[in-house]
Amino acid sequence: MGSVTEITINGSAVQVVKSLEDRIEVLEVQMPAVIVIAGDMNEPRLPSVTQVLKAGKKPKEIIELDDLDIKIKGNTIETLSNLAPEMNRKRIKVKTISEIIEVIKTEGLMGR
Amino acid sequence: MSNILIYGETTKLAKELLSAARVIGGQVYGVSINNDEQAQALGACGANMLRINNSELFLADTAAVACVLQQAAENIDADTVLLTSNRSGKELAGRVAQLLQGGCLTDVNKLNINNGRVECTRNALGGATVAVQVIKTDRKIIAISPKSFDTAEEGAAGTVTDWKLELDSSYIKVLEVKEKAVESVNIESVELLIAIGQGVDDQSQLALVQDIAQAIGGEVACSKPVATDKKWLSEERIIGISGKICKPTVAILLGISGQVQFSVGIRDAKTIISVNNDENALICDMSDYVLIADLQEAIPELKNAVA
Repeated sequence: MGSVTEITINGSAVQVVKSLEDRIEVLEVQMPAVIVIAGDMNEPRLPSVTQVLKAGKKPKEIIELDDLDIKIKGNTIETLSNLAPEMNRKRIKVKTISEIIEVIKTEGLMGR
Repeated sequence: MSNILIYGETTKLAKELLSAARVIGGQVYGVSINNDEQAQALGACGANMLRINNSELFLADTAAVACVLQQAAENIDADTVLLTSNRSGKELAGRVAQLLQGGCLTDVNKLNINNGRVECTRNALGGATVAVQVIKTDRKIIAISPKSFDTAEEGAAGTVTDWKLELDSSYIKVLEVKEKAVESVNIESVELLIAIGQGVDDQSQLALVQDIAQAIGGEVACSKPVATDKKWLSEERIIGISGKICKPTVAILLGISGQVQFSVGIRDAKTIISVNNDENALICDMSDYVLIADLQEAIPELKNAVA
């Protein structure tokens, strides 16, 4: 389930609310379920400095990839290029609002 | 000769996929689910439509729709499945790719055929970069961003065939589907946009910005926090990676710093004007005209200039 904004556990099932571009869907899914939540579903609590320091002292168990019985299949995607898009802007500094108005006029978008 | 399967939630989205399929070339098959109008419309544009009418199949049940598309892809021996890269389409893409054991790319906005390979151009790393990638598996699942391709025109007629299929009982129960109350504004298709960001911190300024937009025939848009956190404007008006990708002739950006999540939605504008109080803001490098000013003064001044 993707784009989920609300989760309610209901016995062996889970009720989710999905927020799509143009509609809301309310679904019930039997568990186990994989749920992908929407980024703004929850406002994370900011930990205090003492909490951060305490967390650093908690015991850690490090599991190496080899310890897990996971088979990783070969790469299905080949990346030919991955570049920052070209930004070719004029970057003209203007001083007044009237200069901005002139630009809008030049584009033919004033007084339509 | 390749076989391509397309599926879009709406007729318009499906027609865009048909145009995308024509770039790849080959026989194009489509699936319509409980939507006779779509089957006829796509058929009239030259697709070979598999029309499914099944009252127990709900579009909101992406698991079931994915099973349908898997069966359809195997039935026609598709080597490429094209879907829409919106929220439900991306979920569908992952599911279909898993079922077909194929590689999958989403957010694709351009296709290019090079030596028989389908090169997909897409925004990567949250829009910070543009990547060109190819899928190496035999079956390829590609989700195409809405509006990346024109809708296909009617032409040589295709076919419409009724297709009955057995579906396993679904583990997803659709309880409710309701339309979002959305404003009927489409900021993607206007020529002049005035966008406000976090730098506009006084809500009384919003009314002035709306007056300016009305006076010069533009629409008001915003960065994400203005809609989701401040709730000054509807989510329909968000520009950026989680909003709309806009290509206006002129964009006037007020109090916008230019984080990549925003700028990906405006970088195709012809002319960008920004008004900001920080001369080191990222947006200054992405603008054609930059005015460094206090927005509390600049917005009323702009309003008086256009009123």
